[in-house]
Amino acid sequence: MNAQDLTLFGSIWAHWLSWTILIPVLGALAIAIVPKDRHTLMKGIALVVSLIVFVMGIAIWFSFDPDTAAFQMTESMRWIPGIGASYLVGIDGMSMILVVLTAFLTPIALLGTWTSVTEKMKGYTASILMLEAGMIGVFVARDLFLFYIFWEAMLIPMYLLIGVWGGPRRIYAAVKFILYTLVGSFLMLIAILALYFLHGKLTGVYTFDLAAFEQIAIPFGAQTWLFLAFTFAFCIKVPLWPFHTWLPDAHVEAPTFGSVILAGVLLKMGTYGLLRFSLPLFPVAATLAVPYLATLSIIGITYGGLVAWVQKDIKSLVAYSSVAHLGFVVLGIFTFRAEGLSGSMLQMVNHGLSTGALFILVGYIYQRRHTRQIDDFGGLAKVMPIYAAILLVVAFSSAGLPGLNGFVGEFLILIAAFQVSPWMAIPAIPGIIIAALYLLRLLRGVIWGPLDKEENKVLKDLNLREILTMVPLLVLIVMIGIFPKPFLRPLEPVAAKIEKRMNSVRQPVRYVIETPSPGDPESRDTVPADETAAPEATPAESDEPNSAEMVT
Amino acid sequence: MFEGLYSWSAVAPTLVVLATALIVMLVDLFVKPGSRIVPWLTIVGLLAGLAVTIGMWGTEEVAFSGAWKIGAYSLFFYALFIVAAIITILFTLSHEQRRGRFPGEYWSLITFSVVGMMVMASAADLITLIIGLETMSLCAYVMVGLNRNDPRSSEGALKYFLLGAFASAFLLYGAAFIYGSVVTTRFSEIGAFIAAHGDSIPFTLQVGGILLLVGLGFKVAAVPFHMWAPDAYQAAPTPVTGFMATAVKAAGFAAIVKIFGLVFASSAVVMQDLIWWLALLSMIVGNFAAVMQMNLKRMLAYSSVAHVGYLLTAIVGSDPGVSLQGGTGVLFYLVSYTLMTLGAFGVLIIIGGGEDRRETLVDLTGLASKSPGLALAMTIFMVSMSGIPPTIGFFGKFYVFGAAVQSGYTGLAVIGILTSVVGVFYYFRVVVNMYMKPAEKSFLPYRRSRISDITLGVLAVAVIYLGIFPQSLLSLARNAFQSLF
Repeated sequence: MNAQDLTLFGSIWAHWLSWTILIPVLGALAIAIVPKDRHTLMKGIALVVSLIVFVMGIAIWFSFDPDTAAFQMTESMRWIPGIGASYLVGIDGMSMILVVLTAFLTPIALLGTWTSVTEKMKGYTASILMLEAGMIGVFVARDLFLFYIFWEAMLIPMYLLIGVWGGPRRIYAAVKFILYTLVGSFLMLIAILALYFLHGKLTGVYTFDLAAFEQIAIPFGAQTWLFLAFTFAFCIKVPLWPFHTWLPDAHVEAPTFGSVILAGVLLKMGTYGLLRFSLPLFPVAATLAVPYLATLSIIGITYGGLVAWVQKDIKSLVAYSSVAHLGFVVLGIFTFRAEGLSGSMLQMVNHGLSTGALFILVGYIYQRRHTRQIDDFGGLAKVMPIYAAILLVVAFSSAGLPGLNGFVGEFLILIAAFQVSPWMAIPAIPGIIIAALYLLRLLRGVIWGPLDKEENKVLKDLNLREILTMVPLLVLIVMIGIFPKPFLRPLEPVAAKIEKRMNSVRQPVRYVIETPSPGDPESRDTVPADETAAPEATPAESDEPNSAEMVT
Repeated sequence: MFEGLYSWSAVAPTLVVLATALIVMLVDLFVKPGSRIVPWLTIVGLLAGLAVTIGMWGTEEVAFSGAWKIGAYSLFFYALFIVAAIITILFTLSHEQRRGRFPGEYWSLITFSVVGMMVMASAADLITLIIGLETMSLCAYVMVGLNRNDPRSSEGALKYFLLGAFASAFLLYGAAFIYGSVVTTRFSEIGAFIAAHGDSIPFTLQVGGILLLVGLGFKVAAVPFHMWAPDAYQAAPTPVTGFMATAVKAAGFAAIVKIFGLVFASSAVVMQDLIWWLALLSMIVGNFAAVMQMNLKRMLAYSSVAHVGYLLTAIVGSDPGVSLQGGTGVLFYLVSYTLMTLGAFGVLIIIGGGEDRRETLVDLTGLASKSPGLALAMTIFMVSMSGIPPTIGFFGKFYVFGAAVQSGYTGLAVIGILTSVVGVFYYFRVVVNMYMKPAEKSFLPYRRSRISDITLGVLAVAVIYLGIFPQSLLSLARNAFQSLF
């Protein structure tokens, strides 16, 4: 890039990721000094700032080298030498795509809910920008201490969004949201500390650098507990059944913007955490946990779908569908196969796009009718044809119809699951049918059927702003559906790296299972950092490019 | 080691503050009641004391035949006490003084109690410690009862006094037992004796140590010695409550760290198990009891009990010979706790309007729309108390629980962190009331003052800034703790 020559731009570019975190914070501070009643100005600042971040995200996308799993655009600064924490940021393919997703969804969600919030605008817009900064921070942090700071700091704006601008039961939902999340993350904090001291004792170096933790051989007993603490925190966030009960409440009560971001980005932090921390740091424990987590995700897929099927409120239907969709993502993660892993990462993006779009669409009709009950609608296709067409596409994408984005991810995940064991894949398949059922029920109840309610007959179709908000989402939904290659490409090296890491411990695990020596954790096998891949995994690896090709 | 008999420099900061207290008391006789000269004079005197403290940073001196030791540790605490007193005075003078509730002796009492605390922080001998503690406590008893016309206040003061006197008796009795066992009251000699005898330290010494623990446990309100705290906190005028919750508690911990983090730090001593229990009970009882409280002063009283639990967690089993984390963590946490607690009480003082009219949870309802700045500051303090980043409260908690994990007390850390989820519930209930419920119609007006607004702003910024950049404070705390041995 020639711009490196320009010293100003060069120095900004050197800290590009930091600027994507800092700019929303500065935007929030700017909003804080805007006079109280200048609502449009505040929304304008929020939109402009989030668009700047989006443009910065595009720049990240295009300057990113998709063929390596190494961290790029890294920055490293001394921060708290007293405890060995440093400011370490950087992105690999997975982080990159989630950062871009965040930067993409924030302005979209803001535009899609432009007129839905009218009071306490200062706090609302400032919370939105702080939330964006926190989310990007979570995805770029490569120091566990820094990660934890962002992970928790971002809870407060979300808590306020639900609690201040939410529906009638908002306080209950907000408190439930924060307490559920904190139980998990406080335990993770203790696990981080334990890991930190373990690393310090083993190597004499006290650091929170993620890469350093991957180098050490964590004793088996410690690995199990640490894995459980980390995974528990992430499973609450995902949310995996049975830790999901906070989600429907939070989704239903949150304002539309909150729902979009919650579904679009926040839930991905859980699956991101599994992929970034639980698997690479504790591979032995993760391998042992496969049956349990696969079972939980299959239950989640089926249960979430069935419960979504009987919901009367559209928002809670979409919320339960998230439980099912994220179940697929977790299932894909615990295949430990490259296709499954990259499918899961792609499905994180897909779910963000289609569920985000669904929540915006629910917001559109809620603003017109002030109800979200499916029974209150019907026949909207006659009065709102554009709306009906968009909802149709988005619902199909969420149902995983071939040709749209949802299919690609689910397909890759199921292929990988089949390769591991049919027992992992077959029970998940009814979930796909159930997804079609509840989404068809949604379509039948809202846009099809007779237009028999007087209030619905006068509804106006989408205006230009509302259509423009949906266009980018629809473009991506179709594009990922028919040509997923550019989106899979940055993910594949990361998936391959995780697969290799997981394969490297297969052999010793079997040994551990066969010769258990209970009560003596010290003598247990430790994780060999780089052992060659187990032979059985080789055919799976050679299949990998094909499976991705097949979809295109 | 050379132990000088008299040394002016070793007591210089204490003398400056003592002189301030005496001058303020004298000046108060000659000005008309309610004059603002007196509090400002107090602040100037305390600032002078702070300047001397900072100027002496780095010096270390043992004086008065080894009964007194000044070093980074004591200077660190001096600064903490003086800053807490100044902030308390600033809040008081901008909101309470005109009502005539605070007679002239209030200012000298608060300064005298700082003198007592400074004596405690520099004590190298049980007798010195007890003298300092009594000086501090007597001032505190009087200050709790300042609302002379309110029977509740008198009740709280009496309860505090009786239990405090009881605790002092325990402390003295413990000192007597220790003297009986080792024939010395010097910390260094007791510590050397314990280190030399290892597992076979005499039973009477153990008893003495336990009695000391009980006495100091009363002073810092650790469960099960916390009964007086909610009543006394509620009864006292709000500024006094803030001062008691921070400076008085910090002084208690200045002694606890010395005695139980250092002198009795050997794992052979039964005290460590007892501290484990005190920490556990304080965290559980403090957090769960705070949930029930609708009165914010009582809620903060129980929450301060929980914070005592967190602090004790850092002391349990932390062997300073192995790691400095425990002691450093306590010092850091005390600063963090002082900043956020004074801030929270500052908000209560402001909306209380000088008469403690509004001190329940309901009184905060709708504060965000009435006064967004105040609500934001309160939110920052509550988030910090919950231990959520990016605040100083988070780093403090991170560090003390880190100390527990490091010394192998992971179980205690896990229980502690789970009880602090309960803490999040009641701290965030304050936020819920301020932001998420419509304003009460009967929201009474309160006076704003530039002084208290600025003080509050500085506290809020400090809470965030030190949460993101804790390194400087961390080094100070580490140097301070290191200077003990």
